[in-house]
Order: sequence, then structure tokens, then C-alpha cells
Amino acid sequence: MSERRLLKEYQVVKKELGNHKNIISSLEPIDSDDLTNWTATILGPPNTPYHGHSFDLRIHLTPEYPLKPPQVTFSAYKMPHCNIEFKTGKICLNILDNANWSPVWNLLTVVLAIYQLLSDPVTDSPLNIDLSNILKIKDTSAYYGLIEYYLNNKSDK
Amino acid sequence: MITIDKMNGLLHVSVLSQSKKTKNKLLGKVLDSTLCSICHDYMYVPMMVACGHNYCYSCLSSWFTSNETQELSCPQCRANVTTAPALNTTLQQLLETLAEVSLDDTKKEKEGEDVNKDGSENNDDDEKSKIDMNTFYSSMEESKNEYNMDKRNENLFGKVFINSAMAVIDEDDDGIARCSNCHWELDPDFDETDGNVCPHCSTRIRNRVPESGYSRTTSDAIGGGQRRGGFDSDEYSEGELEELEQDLQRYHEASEQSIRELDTDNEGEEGSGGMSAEFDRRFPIPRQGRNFLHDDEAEESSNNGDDDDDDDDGDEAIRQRRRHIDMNQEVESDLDSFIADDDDEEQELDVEELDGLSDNDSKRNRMVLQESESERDSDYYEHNDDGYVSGDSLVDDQPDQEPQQQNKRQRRYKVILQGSDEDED
Repeated sequence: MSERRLLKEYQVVKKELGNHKNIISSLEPIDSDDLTNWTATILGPPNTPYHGHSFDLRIHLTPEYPLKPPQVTFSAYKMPHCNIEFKTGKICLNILDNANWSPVWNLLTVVLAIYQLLSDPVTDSPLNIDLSNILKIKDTSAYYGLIEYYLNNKSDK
Repeated sequence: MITIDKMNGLLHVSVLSQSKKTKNKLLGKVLDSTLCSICHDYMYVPMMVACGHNYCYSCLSSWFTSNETQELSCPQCRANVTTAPALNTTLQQLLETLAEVSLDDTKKEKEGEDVNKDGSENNDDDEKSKIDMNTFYSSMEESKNEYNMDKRNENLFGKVFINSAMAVIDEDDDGIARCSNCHWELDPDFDETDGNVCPHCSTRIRNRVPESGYSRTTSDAIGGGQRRGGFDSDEYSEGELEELEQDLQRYHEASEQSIRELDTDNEGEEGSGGMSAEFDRRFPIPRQGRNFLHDDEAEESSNNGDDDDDDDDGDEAIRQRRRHIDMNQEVESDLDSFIADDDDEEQELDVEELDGLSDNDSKRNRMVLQESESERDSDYYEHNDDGYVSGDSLVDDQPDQEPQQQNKRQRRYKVILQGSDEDED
């Protein structure tokens, strides 16, 4: 089931990616013979400190996909965000948990959900405590400043 | 012609009169509706979940068995799946008809491009479409066989609907969610951490355990039933509970008896201060403990007999109460924060249990204070049934007050429950 679905998803992604140009600049398998490892590039949503930057995602699909969620991470040391572990790029998003995942979601919806997470950080389940605390006390300028600092220094790491 | 149109219905007429392009688009949509949203393939054996969504038998089966500790839910709408999905024959027939039509057409016409199928199924040349249809039919055969085999062996959905239990609440009984397999009590919050499995028999619970809000309403409705005579019925077995109640009853009788004795002894000589002092000597029980035991009875006592317990005593009592209230509020909030992480039901019971000590007292007396500050004469409590406890008084229950007492008790539970709700927030 998994392989056939992956082939179909590949077709759908190729067809539909054009509709999400402003959000996802690329979503493709790393190797076109192996549909279990994908890479995606999403653009920073407007009205967030991420605007104007782009972010790379790694997507690994286990053999159990779509019954189990895909494993999605940002590149390490590249993503300052409340719900993303800076050191590893691990994402805290409920639909990526076994318990909340549903097999009707596909790669495209997952990437769109992560894009949404960039605009709506959740301070209640932080993986980046510093950013979360700044956000909690609504210190917007510090929040923007810190994120911009990280983003502009990302080439160092 | 007109009759046929009428027979076919409005929609038939309108659809059939569309342009070829629109028809193809429509057909594409119809074909999409035969796709399973899990495997994105055709549903050869479409099974409909109670919420109305359809999936392949094999997909749904592996979805239900993939995550053993989760409750069963519809992948599309997350609705609980409590009953086994049924074969959707209409959808199955639609798919078969579509396949037959396209097969006929490719056989008849060499350029079968016109009214066939949409994008992916659209045949470029005869050879290819035949191969496609062959794989289609073999897949369909395979899926149907799988379903029929499982059905014959009574192994549908990996027996998940036979081997799992439901969380059931009997409102007439105790209003607590129980495992339908072993009747073990189910914690409303346990699925958050341990998954939806019965802690006793380890059977998978296929529906979500109802929220604690539910148990609150039921315990509100059954009021004193759950907390009989001041004892939390959850903590004692039935036998123990009865024993405790009998003890309590005997204690009441003994205290009534001695109060009557005291009344006759002290008649005309001393006021209630003396009497209650004597009473305290005879029954040296801490104030809180007594309130707890005598919760309801003690309140009644203010209505009868204690004429002398007025201004001096009363003011002193009120002052004490004020301190009490402060203290109790503190205790209460501490308690709330302490229990907040625990499950709601337990919290509620704890608060209920405490009402004799704190919540009830403070609430009641706040009310009394408002009134009593303006004007209060010695007959006040006799004529106003507001349940003020004079603190040091304990007078026998009058049997004829029983029904009224019942009402009062129920009403008070409601007040408490509302109050405790507010405090939780």
C-alpha cells in the first residue's frame, strides 16, 4: 500500500505544487528512485520575523506511512522557533505525533501545516524555551530581534 | 420524451445536457469519490464508517490495528468508531459499473477516448488500457477475496470490534465510566498518558472515555447519593459504608439523648453557653470533626431550641467564622492548586468532602453575615431556614423536619458544586 500511495502522492505533488508557490518553493524526493526521503523548502510567512527567509525541511517516510506520521525536521541550527528544537531541528507539532496523525493527510498537507506553525507559534509546548518565554511576555521587539539575529548568523554554523 | 425526463429526474436532465467537457469533469469527480483517502487507490471493498466516510477494507483494517492503544477514530473526521463499519455496496457497484463501461467501450471502439474516464485512466492506446484494466480487476479480486475470507473467518478488522471494549456510563447507577468488558472504573484522563486501554483487563477501549465534565453533571444530579452521610462512597465498600452509617446513626442518637438529658438538667438555670460547655465536656470532639460528621444535623440545630444563643455568643461565633473563612479560603486554594493536576473527579469529591469543614461553612456564613449584621433577634434562626450553624450547639433532629431537610440538603449540594466550579477556574 505504501509504495503505490507514494507514487500517487508524487504525481499529486508534482501537479499541485504550483498552487502553493508562495508557500512551498520546492517539495521533491531527494532521489527520484527512492520516494521515502524527501526535501522541501518553505518560505517564511509574511508578517513574521521569518519573512524573506527560506527554510529547508527533511521528510522521512517510514514503511508504515501513511498509517504512521512522516518524520519531518528542519535543518539543525537553522530554525529559531518556539516549537522547534534549535540544535536538532525537531518539530513539536501535534499532527506529527502518532496519536494525532491521520492517514488522510499527505506530504503537502504536512508541509502546509508546518508553514502554518511558523505563523502561529504555540508557547504552551515549547522546544525553544528562550523564544517561548520572550513570546509569552509579549516582548515583540526582542522576539523579532533574537530570531533575526539567529537567521542572519546561520551561515556561521 | 417528457415522461422519460420526469422519470430520470431533474438532475439527470441537467447533467446529461451539459457539454462534453463538463461531463468529463463531473465524471472525474465521480471517479475521485471512489478513491480511498488512505491509500489513494480505488476502493474495491468500500467500508462505510458510522460517520459516513468510506475507506478500503484493507486500509481501514490496518488503520484500526496500527495503533493499539488509541481509541478507534475516523481518519477524516476523528469521530469515534464504536460499531464495525459496513460494506458500502452502492459505492462498490458504482466502481464496478464505471469499470465495466470503460471496458466495454475499449472493446467496441479503438479510439475510446471520448466518454471514458478522466486523466490517469484515460487510455492513450488500446494495449495500455487493457493492461490497466487487468491490474484493476486483479486488484479488485484480491481485495474482495481478502474481505470475504475475513468475513467467513469472523476476523473482520482483525477482530478489533470483538476484542475491544467500550467505556460505558450507567447514569442510574454511579455515573462512572466503566470498561464494558470487566466493569473496571475508567479514568477520564488516562488516555492522555497510557492510551485507551482498560487498566484492569488491558482491553482496548474503542471509544473515548467521556470527559470529567460529564461526571460532574451526574454527581450533581445524584447529589447526596454519591456522598452518603458524609462518607465518600468511592472509598468504602458497600458493607463498610453501611457500617459507618450505622455508627454515625448510633452516634447521633447517643448525642441527641444526652442533649435531651442536658436540657432537662439545666432547665432554667443556665443558658446555652453552659449547656454547650457541658456538651463539649461530654463530647470532646474537635469542631471541624464534628461539623464533618454532623454536617446536616448541625445546621438544623440552629432552628430549634437554641433561643439563648444570640448576640454575645453569635458575635463571637461570627468573629470566629471570619477567621475561619480566611483560613478556609486559603486551605481551599492550596488544595485546588495541589489537586489541579489530578483528575477532576477526585478533586470534586475532595472539595465535596471538605464542604463540612470549609467550603460550605464559609459560603453559608458569608450569606448569614450579610443578613445578620443588619438585624437579628433571638428568634431569627427559628424563622429563617438558612442553615446557620451556631458552632457550639447541637440539638436533636425533629423527625417531622425530615422531608424539608432532604430538600435543603440537595439544594446545598448544588450551591457547593457551583461554588467549587468557580473556585477551580
